[in-house]
Amino acid sequence: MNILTEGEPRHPVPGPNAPRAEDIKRARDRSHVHAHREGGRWGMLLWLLVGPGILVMLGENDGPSMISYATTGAQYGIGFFLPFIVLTFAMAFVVQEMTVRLGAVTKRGHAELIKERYGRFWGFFSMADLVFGNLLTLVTEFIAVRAGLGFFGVPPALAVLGAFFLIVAIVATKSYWTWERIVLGFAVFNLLFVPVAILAHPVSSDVVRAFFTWGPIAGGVTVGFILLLISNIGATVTPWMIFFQQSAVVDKGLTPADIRHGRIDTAIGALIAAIAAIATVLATTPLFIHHIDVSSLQGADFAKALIPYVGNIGATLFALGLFEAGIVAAITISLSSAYAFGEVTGRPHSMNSSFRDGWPFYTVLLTAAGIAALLVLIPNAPLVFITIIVNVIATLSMPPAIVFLLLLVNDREIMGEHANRGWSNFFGIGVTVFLVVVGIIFGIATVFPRLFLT
Amino acid sequence: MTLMKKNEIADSVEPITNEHSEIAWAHDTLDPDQVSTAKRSYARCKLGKGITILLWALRVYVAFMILLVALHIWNTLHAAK
Repeated sequence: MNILTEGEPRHPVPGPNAPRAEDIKRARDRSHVHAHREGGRWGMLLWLLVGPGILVMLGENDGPSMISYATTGAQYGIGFFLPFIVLTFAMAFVVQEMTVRLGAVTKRGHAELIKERYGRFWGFFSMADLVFGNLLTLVTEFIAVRAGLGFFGVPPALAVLGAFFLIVAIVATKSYWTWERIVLGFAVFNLLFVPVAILAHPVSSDVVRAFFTWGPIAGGVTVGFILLLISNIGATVTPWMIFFQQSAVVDKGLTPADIRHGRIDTAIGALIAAIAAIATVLATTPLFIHHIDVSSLQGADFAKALIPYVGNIGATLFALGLFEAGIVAAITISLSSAYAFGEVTGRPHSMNSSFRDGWPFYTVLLTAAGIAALLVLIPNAPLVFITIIVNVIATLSMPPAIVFLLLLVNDREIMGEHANRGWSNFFGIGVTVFLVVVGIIFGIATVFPRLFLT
Repeated sequence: MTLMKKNEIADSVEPITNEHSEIAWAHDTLDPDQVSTAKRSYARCKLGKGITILLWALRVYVAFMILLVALHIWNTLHAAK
């Protein structure tokens, strides 16, 4: 079956349809993949093909998420939330795996596919939703950067501008492969929370028991517990993740032959992110044990509060981890906005693009990051309040994105044998419906807290 | 022949030759639909009535909830003053 409309023939000579610089660079990356696949070098092939899955999962372990996990550990200690975090990342894997298949089979980003299949209106609507939500989320990432570096006495303006210029420098590589490897290098530091957890000396038998018993729940099931539970779920899968991973899969050049490796990439990302998240809960458990009130703690305050229990080294690692969480998310989220803009407007949209071809793409990417960086520097801005509201809006905007994801991945005309079926559809629909319901409850609980207090 | 002249000749000949071979090589290496300039559009798929209603209902829901969030922000900021 061929539902592709007739287009220009392929031209092996320079001309209007000749490959751009981005295609030449992608072809170079793909030639390495072909060589290692033909050579049967499985390990090297995996190394070449990982990236989007790890980046999206560690990108989602962003500043607000790490603060949320820190709050969880400080308020509930070792117990229910440890296995629950594993469950949330399993759900994230189910959703993100669909984007791998969509990108590899259709060679189109999420926004591009929505526009082509369902029309310009829905394409632009989805893109506008994403760019607006991303701008707000980017603000919270720069808040995390500011908080993390604030621990070391770095002035806010210097921290935020430094982070912005770091993004500019990485973008200036004009190479998807180089960009991906640099950001992966940064993302590995999400595991800085692991040594902090070790320094907190958690009781290993309590950790094992928590995974088997899904408990205890300190203080029982209260309104605060429900809100934190819903907050943790809502932070696991967000619209930008869907858009980013599918676009990155396309930009990287994955094909249906690479879907298996794409799944492994996503699973590795989910595993690392879950380990970092659990480590963050364990790292702040001493605050729970010593009954430290964390309700007024913000960002780097967690690191300072941990000094008596994990020492200066542990606190330093915690602050660095917070900085890493913010900067990696800022890089990936701003890129997802630029991808969606290029996909919907039909402009070049690749990290492999030259500045001449891809100037609108790079302009959107850097403008999004720049505006967010400037907003964080507004004097007396209620930054923590902004973080909470941004999480609410991100969760509320999930349902339309999830509906389109399911529509597309079940579209047999474009997905063929890779369309959802059987159990994958059961889990996919189940997880997304669950997330939608939870998002609605989260929104209601946040806007009308009194409804849950009575 | 001076070095400058050699470079001028090289500049005028080599890039075209390289471009031809590089483009052909890129076409061979990439899948047909991976070349950004040679992508063909998918045919438009009409959304069913039920799905359209669901999508609009979700849009209304998102807009309504964002208005409530805005109201919440307004109330919180005024309560803080």
